[in-house]
Amino acid sequence: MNDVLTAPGRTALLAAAVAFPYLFPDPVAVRAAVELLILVLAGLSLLPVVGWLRTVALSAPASAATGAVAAATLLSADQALPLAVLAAGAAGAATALVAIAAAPRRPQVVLPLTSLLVTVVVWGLLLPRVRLVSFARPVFVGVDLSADRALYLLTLAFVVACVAATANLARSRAGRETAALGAAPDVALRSGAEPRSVWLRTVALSGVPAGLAGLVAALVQQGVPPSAMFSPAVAMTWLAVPLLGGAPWISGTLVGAAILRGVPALTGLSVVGVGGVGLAVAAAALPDGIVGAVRAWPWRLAERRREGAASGSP
Amino acid sequence: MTLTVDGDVAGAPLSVEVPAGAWTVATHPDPDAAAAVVAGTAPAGVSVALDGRLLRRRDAAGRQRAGLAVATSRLGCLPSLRVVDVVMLGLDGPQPPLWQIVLGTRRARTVQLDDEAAARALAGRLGLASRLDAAAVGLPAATEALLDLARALASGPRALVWRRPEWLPPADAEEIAAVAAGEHARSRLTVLELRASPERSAGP
Repeated sequence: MNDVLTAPGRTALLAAAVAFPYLFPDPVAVRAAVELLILVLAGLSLLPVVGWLRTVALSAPASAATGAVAAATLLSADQALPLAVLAAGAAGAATALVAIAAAPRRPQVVLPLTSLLVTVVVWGLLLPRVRLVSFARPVFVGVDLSADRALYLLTLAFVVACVAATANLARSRAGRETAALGAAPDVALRSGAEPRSVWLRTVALSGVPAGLAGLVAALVQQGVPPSAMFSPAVAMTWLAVPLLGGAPWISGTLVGAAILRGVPALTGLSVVGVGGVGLAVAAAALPDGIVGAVRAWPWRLAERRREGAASGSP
Repeated sequence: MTLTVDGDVAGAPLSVEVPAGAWTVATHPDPDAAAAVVAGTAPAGVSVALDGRLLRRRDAAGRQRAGLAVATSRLGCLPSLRVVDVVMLGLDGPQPPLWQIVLGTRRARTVQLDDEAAARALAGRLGLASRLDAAAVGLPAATEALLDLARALASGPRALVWRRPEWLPPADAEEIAAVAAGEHARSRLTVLELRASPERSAGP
């Protein structure tokens, strides 16, 4: 698919992200950068559903919560980190599947409700009953994750893997079918897309980055994070990441996450408050987000020129 | 391949048999609804048979797999796709499993490159080469009609139902009809052209 962030741009951005904890070794800055990367993971989890299928999904915090619980349980039992990564991703996907399984018909209408319900149940009923476990951050392939810089780089590796997976999906027929089903369902159907399987695979895949976000949150907290981190209010905030930045594009997720983490850091406002304002701005003025507005510039300009030429002609 | 369509759409009959390799023009008061029903994207109202075999699956995916493509000449807005992606939507070859796609294995990349090459070749033949990397949004109506035709032809159909873009200036509609006629002549494709006008006549 067409993204404004081309390969050289992605490489430069990755180099800057890798260099960040070495250029700014202050633990507060590194911890803030980890929080930014968690937002990016949350945004990437929403991208296929919100950006391509054009449906509101609010189950990402529930997927993150189950991912965090699965990872914390395994790590507190001294299991290896790769196993915790797999468990967190699988728990996130399974939780997302619950939301879509509860919406067998007209998922574009029902999924917002079922996904919110899943988040409310996990946040309000399941998390308060989870036995609180704690663990020391593990050593992974010789790297001690108790250092914030190492944790940042591990989180960055998750983000890079999720960006690559999303880009691979976007380039595939499965990704094109998903985008077409959301934007022009009739075209997708005439092209052979099977809506039910498209919905199931897209929503299931969307749970994986959210589960990884939960794993990172568990590593930051060295235990199961507090339930407030996965509340319905957080679901709305995470929703603002793709919607404000530009939901169909990876670059939109990066822009949205940067704004939602950067503005509170610079102004002292709450992330939830900035997320609410971001949602309002996106709904009122930016239907395709900031990246969409930038991308639309050339053809809007061309359209204006055509109109000008038409009105100037005799 | 003989295409037979028989039934009622929006209260008006649509009954036509297109001999294998022929081009037949059919009229209907609501040709857009007729195209949607034949495609399988609207509630069933007609029976569709290919070479006398009734298509039992009434959904669009089943009909496409059976060799029937429908081009309505309208696409809508697909902001996250390029023009070439829209052509690729119509391709109907085997795909690697989802885990290979997500991991970007060599097989998945090869399929992707082959698909794109096939789509570019087809789109180039139909006169879309210069626009292939543009976003599929804000396209002129004539380009949109041509692009939907390219998408429909990408699956290598044996029968095509084509909604003539009568809303375009006659010169543009004729140009697209000429492209469709070229493909019909090239592959002896069975074509049912749907029009809103009251007469029924032989095609080109």
